[in-house]
Amino acid sequence: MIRILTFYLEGELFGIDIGLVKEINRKIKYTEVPGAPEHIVGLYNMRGQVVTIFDVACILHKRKSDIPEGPTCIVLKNNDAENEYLGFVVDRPGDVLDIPDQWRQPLPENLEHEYGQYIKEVVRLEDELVAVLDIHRIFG
Amino acid sequence: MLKNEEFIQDFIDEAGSHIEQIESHLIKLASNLNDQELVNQLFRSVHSIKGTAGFFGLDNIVKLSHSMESLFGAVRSEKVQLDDLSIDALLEANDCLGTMVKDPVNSHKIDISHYIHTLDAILSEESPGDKTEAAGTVHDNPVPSHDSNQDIKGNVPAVSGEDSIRVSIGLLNDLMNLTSELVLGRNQLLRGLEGHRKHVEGLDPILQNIDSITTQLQERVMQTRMQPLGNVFNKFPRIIRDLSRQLGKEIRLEMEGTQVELDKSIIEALADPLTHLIRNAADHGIEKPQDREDAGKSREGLVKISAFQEGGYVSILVADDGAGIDVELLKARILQKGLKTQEELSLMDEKEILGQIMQPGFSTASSVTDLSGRGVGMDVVRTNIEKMGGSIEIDSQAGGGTTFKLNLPMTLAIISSLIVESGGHNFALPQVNLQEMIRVKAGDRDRSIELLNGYPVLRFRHRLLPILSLSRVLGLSQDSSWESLVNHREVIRILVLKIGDRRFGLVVDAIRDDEEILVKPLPRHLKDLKCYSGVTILGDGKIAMILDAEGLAAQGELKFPETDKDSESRQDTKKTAVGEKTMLLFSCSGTETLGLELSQVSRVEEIRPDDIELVGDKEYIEFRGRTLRLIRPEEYLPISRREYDRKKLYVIIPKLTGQPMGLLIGRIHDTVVLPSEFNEQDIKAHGIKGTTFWNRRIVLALDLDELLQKAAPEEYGGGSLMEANAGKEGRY
Repeated sequence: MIRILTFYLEGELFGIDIGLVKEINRKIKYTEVPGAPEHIVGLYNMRGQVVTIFDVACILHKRKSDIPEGPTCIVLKNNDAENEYLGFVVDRPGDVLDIPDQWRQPLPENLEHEYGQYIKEVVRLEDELVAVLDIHRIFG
Repeated sequence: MLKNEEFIQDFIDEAGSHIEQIESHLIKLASNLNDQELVNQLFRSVHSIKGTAGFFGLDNIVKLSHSMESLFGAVRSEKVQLDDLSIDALLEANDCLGTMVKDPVNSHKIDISHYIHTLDAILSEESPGDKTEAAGTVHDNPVPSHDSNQDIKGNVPAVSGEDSIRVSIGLLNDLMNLTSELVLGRNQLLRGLEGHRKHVEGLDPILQNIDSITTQLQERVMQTRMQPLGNVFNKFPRIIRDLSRQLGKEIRLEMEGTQVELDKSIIEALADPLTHLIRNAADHGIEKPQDREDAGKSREGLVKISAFQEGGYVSILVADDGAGIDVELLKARILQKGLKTQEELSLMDEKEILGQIMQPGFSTASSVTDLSGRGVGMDVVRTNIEKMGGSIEIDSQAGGGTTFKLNLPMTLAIISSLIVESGGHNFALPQVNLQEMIRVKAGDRDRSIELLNGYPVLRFRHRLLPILSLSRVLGLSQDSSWESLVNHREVIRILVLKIGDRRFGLVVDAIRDDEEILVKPLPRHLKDLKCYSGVTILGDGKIAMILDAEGLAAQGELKFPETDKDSESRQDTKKTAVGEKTMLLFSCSGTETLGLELSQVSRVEEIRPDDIELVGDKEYIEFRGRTLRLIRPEEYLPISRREYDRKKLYVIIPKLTGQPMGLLIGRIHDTVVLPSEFNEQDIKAHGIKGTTFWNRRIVLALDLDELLQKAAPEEYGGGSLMEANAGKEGRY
C-alpha cells in the first residue's frame, strides 16, 4: 500500500508519494529569476528558507495557461546533504489517499517518452487515473 | 584498533592547538634562547600531547613527544643549551608530530627515527660553557613542575580556557539562519503592528524590547563565527624564519592587530593570499644583507603585517622595506609584454601602473626577476581577495619598499548592497563592485551615450565607458537596438561597476535603497546563471537576486577597451583607404583633445611661457624677427580652461593665414590618420567641425576658418579664409 497526495496540473490529476511532501502553501508570493530556465517559476521565501519553485506542468510539456497570481505550491522535504528546498506550483491540491497495491499499475507502454519518463506508476481510482510522479527524475 | 576511538577528534583538535603553540614558542625561543618561561610552556605542551597520545595508544606520537620533552627537560635543568640548529631540529620534529596528530590512526606508519636520533644527539651534547650565566636564571625562575604533572594525571586534555566549549560549525550556521529568520519575523511584526502601537496599551514597549533584543541576538550570533586574525598570522614567523635561512637574508617580522576579528570563512580564505604576499616580500622584496648595506639600509630587512578595523571593513597591510618596484622598469615590462600601449600607460597614474602586476598574464617567474620578481601569482591573490568581496591595493617606492593593502569585509554573510530595479524586478548589487552612480540627462554635454562600433558607450570625463543595460542582459527587454538609449528623453541611471581595474556602466531603471543583506548561496538549479552571485531576502520579506558584476559583463559580451582596441585599429586602417585625414592631435590648457588637419599646419614651434608679450589685451610672440599674434583656442571654444603651469608651450602656425597668427597650445599628442567623417551631432559650436575618436578619447576637430574668424574678426571678418588665402602656403 502507498499513500499519495493528489493534485491537479492543467486539469489533469497527478500524485506524489506523501512521504516526500513537507507542506502545501497557498497564495505564495515568489520572485521571478530573469534568465532562469522556463521550468523554474522563481524563488519563494518560506520563513527565511529560499525555495526554488518549479513548473512541473512545463517539464511534462503540459503547460497551456499562465500561472495565476498567488499560486498554490507544494514544497518538498529536503535532504539534509543539500539543505535546499524545492517546490512546484499546482492548480489545486487534491486529497491524501491510501492506495492498495491492487490499484497500482505499471506504466502503459504507449506513453510518450518525454512524458512517461517522469511517471513512476499509474493508480486507477474508481473513476479516474492518477499518474504518480517520479520526483527524483523531475528534479534531477 | 585504536583505544578510546570515540574521543579521537577531541585529541586531534586539542593536540593540534598544542602543536601550533609549540611552533610559535620555538620561534620566540630562537630570539631569546634563555627564556625559561618559554621552555616551561614548551615542556608542558609536549608533555600534554604525550600524555593524551598514551591514552589512545599512539606509540609513535608518544615516542617523538617523549624525545622532545626530554630535550626541553634537559634545557630546563640547564644540562643542554639550545642553539639555532637545535631549534631547527625541534621545529622539524614538531612538524612531524603535527602530521601524525592530524591523522593519528595512521601515525604508526610514519618513520620518526630520524627525528628521535637528531634530538637524542642534541641531548647528549654537553654545553658547559653557558653554565654560569644560566645558573642564575634557574634561581630567578623556579620551575613549576607541578602544573605539568597535573595535566596528565586524569588523562584529561588540558582545556585552553575554562570559559569556552567546542560547538560544531553546523550548529552555529543553523543558529545564524534561524536568527536571520527571526530578524525577518521581527521586521514583519513591527510593520504589521505599526498602526496599532498607540491603540493597544502596553504594546509599544514590548515591540521595542523585542526589536532591541533581536538586534543584539543577531550581533552576538554573528560574533560566534568571528575569529582573530592571529589564527592566520601565527604561521608567518615560521615561514619568515625558514625563508631567511634559505635565502641567506636577515629578516625581522613584525605583526600588529592579531586580535582583530573576521568571519571564520574569511580567515580561512585569507591564509593562502597572505602567505603568498609574505613570501613575496621576503623572497623578492627584501634585499640581501650586503645589498642593503650598500644602499645605506640596515642589514636586517623588515616585513610588517598589520591589521586594523576601518568601518565595516578590516584592512591588512603587508609591508616590506626592501627594494620596491621601479615604475619605469615596470612600464617597460608592460610595453614589452604588449599588455598596454604607450598611450594607455600615459593615461594611468602610478598606482594603476603598479596594479598591473596583479593582472593575469603579467608575470611568469623567469621574466620578472629584474623587477624584484613581484607579480608571481599576484593575479591569483587579487582574484581570491575579490572573491571574498575585498580589494587589494599596492604602493611602492623604488628603493623604499612595497606595501600591499587588503580591504576585507568583516563577514562574508552580510554585505552592504544597493537595491536597483530593472524591468519590474528588484536586484541587490554588492557595494564593493560599485564605483559611482551617474545620471545622464537628455542633451547633457558632459556625459552622453553614444555608439562606438555599434556598442553603446558613455562619454564621461573624457573617457569612454562601455555600457550594458541590465534589462537587456537579463533578457527582460526585447528591444534589440540601442536607439532608446542613445536618444533618450528621460534621465538614464548608470551604475559604474568595477571589476579589478576594468570599469563598465550598467543602465538600470531605478535605484532604490542601500541595504545590508544576508547572502545566501544560489540554489543548485540556478547555478548556471552567471549573472547572479547569490540570493538574499530583503527587509520586506521578498527574495532578490544578487548581481554578479563579472557575470553580467560576460553575459552582456561586454567589450572592454583593451579587447576592442584591435578591431578599432583594424577599422582605422580600413578607412584609411577610403576617406581619411591626417590630423595633428593636441591639447590646450584643459584636458580635451583637439585635432587639426595636418594639411592646414605650417609648423609647430616650441616656446617658453615668458616669451609671450602682452600688447593691449592681445598676446604676441616674436618669431623669426616678426610679431606673431597668439590665439588661445580655449577662449573661443566650449572647452575647459586652466592656467598653464608648464615650462614649455607650443604654437601651431597654420598655413594659409593672411595675418601672422599662431594657436597657443599646451601639449602635442600625435599625428594620426582618422576617418574624415566627423560626428556633427553632439557638440555644436563655432570653430568645431565635429567629433571623432582616437584611442577611445574624443577628438574635437577644429574648424580653423571659423576659429580665426571668431578670434580675430577684424582680420577675418568675412569670406572664406581658405579662398582668400589660397596659394599662400608655406610663407614661414
